[in-house]
Amino acid sequence: MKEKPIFTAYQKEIDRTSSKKIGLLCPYTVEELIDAAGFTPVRLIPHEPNMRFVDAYLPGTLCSYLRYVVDLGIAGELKGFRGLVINHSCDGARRTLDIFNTYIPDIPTFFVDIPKKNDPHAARYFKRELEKMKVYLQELSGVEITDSALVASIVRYNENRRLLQEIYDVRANNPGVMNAQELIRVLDLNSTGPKQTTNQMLSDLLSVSGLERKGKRVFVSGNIFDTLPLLEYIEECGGVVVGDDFCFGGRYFPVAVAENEAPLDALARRYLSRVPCGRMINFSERIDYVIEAVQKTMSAGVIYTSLKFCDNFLVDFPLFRERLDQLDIPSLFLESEYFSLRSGQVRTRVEAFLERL
Amino acid sequence: MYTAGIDIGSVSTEMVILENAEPCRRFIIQTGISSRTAAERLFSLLDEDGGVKQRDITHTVTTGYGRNAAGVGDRSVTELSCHARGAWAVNHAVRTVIDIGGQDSKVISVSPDGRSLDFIMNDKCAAGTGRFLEIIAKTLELEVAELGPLALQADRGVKISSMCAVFAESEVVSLRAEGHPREKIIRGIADSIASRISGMVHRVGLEPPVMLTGGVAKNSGVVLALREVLGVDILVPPDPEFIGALGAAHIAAEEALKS
Amino acid sequence: MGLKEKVKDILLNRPDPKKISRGALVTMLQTFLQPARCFGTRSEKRFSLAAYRHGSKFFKGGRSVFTSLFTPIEIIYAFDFLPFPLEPLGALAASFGIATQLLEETEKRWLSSDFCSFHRAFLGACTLGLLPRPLFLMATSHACDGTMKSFSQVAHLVSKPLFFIDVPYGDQKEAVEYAAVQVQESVSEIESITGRRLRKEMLAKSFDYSNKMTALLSTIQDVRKASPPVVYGSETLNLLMVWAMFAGNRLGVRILESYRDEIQARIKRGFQDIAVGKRVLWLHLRPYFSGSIMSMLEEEFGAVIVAEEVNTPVKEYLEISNPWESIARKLLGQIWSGSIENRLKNIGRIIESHGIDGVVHFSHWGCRQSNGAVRMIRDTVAGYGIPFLELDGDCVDPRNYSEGQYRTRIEAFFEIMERR
Repeated sequence: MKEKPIFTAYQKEIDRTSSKKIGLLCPYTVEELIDAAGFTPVRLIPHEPNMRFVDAYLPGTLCSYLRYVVDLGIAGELKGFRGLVINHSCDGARRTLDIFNTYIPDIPTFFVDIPKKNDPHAARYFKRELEKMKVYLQELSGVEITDSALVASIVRYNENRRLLQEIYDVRANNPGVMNAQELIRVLDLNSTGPKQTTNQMLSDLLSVSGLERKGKRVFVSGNIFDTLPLLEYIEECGGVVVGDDFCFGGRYFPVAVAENEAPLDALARRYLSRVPCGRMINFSERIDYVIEAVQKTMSAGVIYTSLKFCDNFLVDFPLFRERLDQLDIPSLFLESEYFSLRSGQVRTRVEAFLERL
Repeated sequence: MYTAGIDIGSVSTEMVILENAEPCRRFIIQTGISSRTAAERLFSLLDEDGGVKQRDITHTVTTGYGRNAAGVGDRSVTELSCHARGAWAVNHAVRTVIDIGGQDSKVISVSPDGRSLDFIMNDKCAAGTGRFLEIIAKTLELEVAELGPLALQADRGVKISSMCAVFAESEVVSLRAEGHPREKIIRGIADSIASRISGMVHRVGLEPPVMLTGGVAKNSGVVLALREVLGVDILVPPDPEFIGALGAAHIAAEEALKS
Repeated sequence: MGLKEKVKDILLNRPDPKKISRGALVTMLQTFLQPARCFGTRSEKRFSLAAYRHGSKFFKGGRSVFTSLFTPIEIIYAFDFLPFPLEPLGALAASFGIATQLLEETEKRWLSSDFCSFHRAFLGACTLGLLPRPLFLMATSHACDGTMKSFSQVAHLVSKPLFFIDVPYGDQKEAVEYAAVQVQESVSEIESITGRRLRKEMLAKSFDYSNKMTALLSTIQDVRKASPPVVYGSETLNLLMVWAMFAGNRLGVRILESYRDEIQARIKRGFQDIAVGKRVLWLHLRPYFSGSIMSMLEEEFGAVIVAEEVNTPVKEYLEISNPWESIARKLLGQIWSGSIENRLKNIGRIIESHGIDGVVHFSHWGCRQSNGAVRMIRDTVAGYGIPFLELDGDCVDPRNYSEGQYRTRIEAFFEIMERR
């Protein structure tokens, strides 16, 4: 299906307004710092289901998203990036960092540790990590990151969060405004362009109306995938996706950064307080968040997805299921490689699940 | 001096006889259920053939899956070392050997003097082995030998999404039902095998020249697919299924000289 | 009913922690009565007895604390509680032949089998009610992501608090501070929930024992550098368990002293019973269920393991004058913490010091922190011009184990070493 002209126009606008790109993989990367340094934070999104070289570097039993990232690096397709930021997201990320440092030295890679806790000691430690990141970015850009520049970035990012929240709210009430393909396109554009530009895009999109769409209301939970095929199957089988908690979707925008505090402190606190990833010790708050969202959006069921080999998300499923079962919320569990949601087997499961709702 | 190498695989067993380190006889049979009787049958064939007799052979090395159960031979050596040595005997320049047998596949890194330096094996999964091709041939009602030439007729293959040989079988049935031509399907299977092998090659490290051994080397579709995915030329020796036995016979010759 | 069957029966059919304690006692008695030559070394028998005694006290409950492999248990001993590391329970279950049942239990409950079987095994044991009720749990974030996930779930199942030390990257001041303050606060919280105060002299004693053990492990590694092997690596791999169970306890010192003395005595008198063809460095862990890959490698092929990376002691001595910081430094100094550099340097160091002919990495299913490094380890080893073998497998799950497949790989690896 050909995409709406608004998206093509915004892709052009993003290309035009982007400055030097710094790649990132994980929403714990403090993008405001990158933005304030004059770079454009760009999430790495694999587009081709074709791993060419990574088997020589990482085993097949490791996150396929990270394997794609390494593959892109080895293939020389990340040359357009000024640098890459890798967080301590997980064990896979640790080894990915080591691979980049050892075998792909022409792409400067900076590591930022993330504490697993959300308390004052952790925040203090994390703030020191951000101080190091700030120094690194200043050296890379040759420009000082002033407090006022950082606050301006924080304001821009908070605006982005607010706009995304609004889009999600509107969509929950009226799924017709944006179908799956459009939503994914919006999220992808939003995470690969400068927020100045994407804020405008989100604003414009809010004023667009859509057709009424009815269907069985489904909430999708997950980490990092090419989720489009799954969402399309849901729509094809008579469902509507009314919410999600993807890393760069539903869990990306909640919780703003305090604008009237010392910026690094405010950033450290916010990023540790965001709806947590399975890697954090307060991971059960994600379960709370999903249940709350499911109830708020009046979803009839939850599709819980996870990348294969992701302990942080896979091991949570029994806990999710226990809570969802207690509340009589039907759930479907799907685990997959990055691109493998497009398959007859997935479609059959989705169809069968929707028939239950 | 005569030496012998016997490669006892799960599907077939080969024997190569060297006369003063030059190949002079070769035999191949179906292994059946007993490695021991397979070896015995080969020696019977040798004796019937005339010329060289079993008692003329100074040294025998066995290799392959049944190498220890055969009950013959002076020594057993793994097929990893034997394929390295055998490929090197055919062409001293070879640095990487890909062996795709009936029920396993392996990639071996070869030293300039024909020794195995490193290897990786797949003996857990049928996809990427000769067995996969047998399954598909049966599904398409063809002989295995017909697959290669047919695959070459397609300019590109249909993408096979199943990772598993068993599921690929049903996928092939669906593809036929949808009207995809056999050539494209077979080509897709060849691509699938090549992609599996490519992963293994990269883990060991791709160093050309690369030689393909084992029965599957006779499938020109797989050879072409491998060429494409690895981006290097693939050498195919004459009688690729004998390379293991050839290497075993050469190792036997070396050992005989030492003692 | 044989010993194994007896234990299995008790564990699976009558899972009452008190009964397990009695079962362990039975096993202990039988072990006591078995002659030393049934074991590789007298020290191994000694360790087995100590482990059973410790295990039976632990299963009785009352003072039990669940710990992870790298928890600083010196603290637990200083409080006079009984720590028991949960991951080795997976190894124990495997050696008793009950791992499959434990894993199946977790599979019934939607727990992904991509997850490490050590963790799944103790989660299964917990779900089946095989574990005693602990006072609390204490775990660290290394070596892997899985530890936090599994310990959080066990804590939830037994409704007891988990004290978790998030071990940061690197060894800079702020990392040490962050780790140290967590250790300190855990101690305060343990004091408040148990009503027991940590006495400085107890901690000092515990530190003393731990430091002695660090020195002993170092000595044991050193004496094996040049001499022909006098003990098989499949036995010395268990020294990791000595540490995980007894660090900071006098028993730990005694057991390691016993090993040191026995090894040195064997070297001195020219021990001849181990025929060695090649010297191997073993990386990571090994399968614990019955199966002969270790004896195949070491006894049949004579490729004897003369060093194991898991027994590399962290040369940080615990100081009572600065307890939390020195514990923190020790945690940060582990080869499993942080980036891969420490691990690679350690491998290189051992290859040089121990005259290594070949390196084997056991790639345990689900262990991404380790298996993700294989390429870099392979290159490091290649830099020394010696061969490297990666063995895929599972340390705990015996399903999908094929002896013939291992034989071919080990044999081929030996051939490479032989023909160099």
